[in-house]
Amino acid sequence: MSKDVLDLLFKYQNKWVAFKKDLSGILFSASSVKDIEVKLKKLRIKDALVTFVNPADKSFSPLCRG
Amino acid sequence: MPRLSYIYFPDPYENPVTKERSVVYRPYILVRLCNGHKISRGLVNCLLDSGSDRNLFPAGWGESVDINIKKGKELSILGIGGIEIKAYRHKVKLYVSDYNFESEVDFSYSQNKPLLGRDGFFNRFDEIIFNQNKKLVLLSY
Repeated sequence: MSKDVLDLLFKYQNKWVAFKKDLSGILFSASSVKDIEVKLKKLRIKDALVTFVNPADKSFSPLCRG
Repeated sequence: MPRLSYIYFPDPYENPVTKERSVVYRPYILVRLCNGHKISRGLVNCLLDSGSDRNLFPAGWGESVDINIKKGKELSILGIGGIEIKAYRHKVKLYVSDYNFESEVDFSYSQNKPLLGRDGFFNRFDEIIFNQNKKLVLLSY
């Protein structure tokens, strides 16, 4: 992953991001995965890598006990 | 036995003391969510979380494939620090590369990061290996 893309990860903390499939860049960001899906459909893009970018200033310890 | 491999994916990390910027690599799996004939367009990074009993996804992802979230069985999910969140359980199909399987997911409006848990994901594979040194996850099915 290039430095430019890493810089973008910091820029998009707490947001959903759609990456180009080869991870060479970011297509767009949104505040929800639903909005990402709507935009992917509108742009007729399949196979984008979609991720929620965690905040950089916190460690992450998820626990799901259901 | 077919095998899938996923390289850990980076998240941004800032040292709270020095403010130095780097990344932390985490085990993510790319998943498509399917509800009947509706399947998500994006390949969504889901955190492979052996500490989670079950799958927990953001509600918006379910809504994007026309799942009526609040029609599912309502339940409480307990997390770190004893915090409880509300979730709704639904049957879905999950696609991991060419492998797909029926599963159950708890959808919550309070959760952003999709989590893959032991019941509904881990137990759909014969073997899951975390290679921390190579930052690689191997899944056999």
